[in-house]
Amino acid sequence: MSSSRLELSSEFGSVALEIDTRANGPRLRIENQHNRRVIYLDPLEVASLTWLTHERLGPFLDPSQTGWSSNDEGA
Amino acid sequence: MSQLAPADLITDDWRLHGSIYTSREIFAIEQQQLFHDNWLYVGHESEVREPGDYKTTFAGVQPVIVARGADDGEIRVLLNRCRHRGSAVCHDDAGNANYFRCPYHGWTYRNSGELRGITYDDAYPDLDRSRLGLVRLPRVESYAGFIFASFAPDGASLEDYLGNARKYLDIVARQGPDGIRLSAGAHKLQYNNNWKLQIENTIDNYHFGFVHRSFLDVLADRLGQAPPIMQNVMNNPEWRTIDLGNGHSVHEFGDPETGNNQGQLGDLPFNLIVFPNLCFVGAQLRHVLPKKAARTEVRLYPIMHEGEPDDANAAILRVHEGFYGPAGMGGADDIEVAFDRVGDGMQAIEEDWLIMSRGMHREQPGDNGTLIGHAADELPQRAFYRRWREQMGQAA
Repeated sequence: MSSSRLELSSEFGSVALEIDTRANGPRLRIENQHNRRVIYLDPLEVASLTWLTHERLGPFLDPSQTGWSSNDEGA
Repeated sequence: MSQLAPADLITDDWRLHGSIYTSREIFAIEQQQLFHDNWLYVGHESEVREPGDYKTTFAGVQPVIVARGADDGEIRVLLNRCRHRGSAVCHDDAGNANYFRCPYHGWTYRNSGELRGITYDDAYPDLDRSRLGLVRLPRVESYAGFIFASFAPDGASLEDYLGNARKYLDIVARQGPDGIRLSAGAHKLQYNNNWKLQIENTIDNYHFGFVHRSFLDVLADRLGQAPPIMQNVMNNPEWRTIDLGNGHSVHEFGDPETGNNQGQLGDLPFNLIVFPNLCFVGAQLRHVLPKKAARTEVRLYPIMHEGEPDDANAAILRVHEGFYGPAGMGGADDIEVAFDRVGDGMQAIEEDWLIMSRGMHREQPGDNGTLIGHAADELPQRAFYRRWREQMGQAA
């Protein structure tokens, strides 16, 4: 089961958000609509994101660390 | 191009050589002399209210991103050009993004400009990423919410540059009870002629009763009598043009705080030109974007009133559209006559001079070094070209 789906898009990214209730507790399901990759985040993980600055999110925005590495099998 | 030096393209009796409008060389010199060291309008703070907000626009011909920092809220102006292979990084007119990713090879930048990452980066073992951020314009300042930037690291302060125009920007900023916002976006028009024709046309009451006669006739039908615009232009001494210095000029419809054109053109109490390419007219901010000597884009931003109800702001939009909109009764005539027909005529270059001397004999000195002229005189054009000649004359 999951709640209604939200979509967030810009010229740089597009994701679908849902609250997933299939597990023993609720999780946030995020799907990258460009490549269908999915992550589930529990409430503590989401809460911890609020401690971040956008600068500290930087490593995840480095494309060679997230999807465009020469070492990735799928590259 | 004429063999004349740029400063000699304007005579002391105010004839202008046609190459001012048609020459590609003059256009290129303008980009160096007018659109580099001067303070250039790039946006209004209401367009980038939230951290991560950005808009794209142009500083002269150069594409730029105006972005509010994700973590620090600082407004920066960045060249919209990937340091790798030159693609424009941002495409949309506006958005919210804390990082920008180039669409060509995926180079990724913080919205403050720093290069954050490169796709498949093992091929660049020695690249100094710290030097490869999006290029930041060295000076960015706001006045009354209007954001300006300069390519020059040093020079006059924005306040000194704006000079006597500041008073009018303050009045624009107070149009709504809680200020203004450009939340309606812009409509864009393009024409195949020089950018300066749109500047000249912004304060040119001389053409109004002629080119826009059909609009005045429609108003007369609606109101049951001819609107008093042209009577005021020709005979009301409180309607006046003012050379504000530094290339700026204004036309006041009477009191600059409360004046009104009484002609369903929008409720700003004056028309204003801020050198080189920012204008206020009707109910709009008008940003004139040079593209080529004979290609111009104009972005018209209706000014919404903060603190007024939606129906009041909707009424501002309807009046704006009535004259200036794509199907309006005024803007299309200006494009056809003041830009296209002028372009047709100026292909005749055997006698390549224009006359910009209307009313120069009756200019009067005002306060703070200003010059005051009749409402229908070409004083605003002379104010603009006096500065143009001064700055273009500095070209080597």
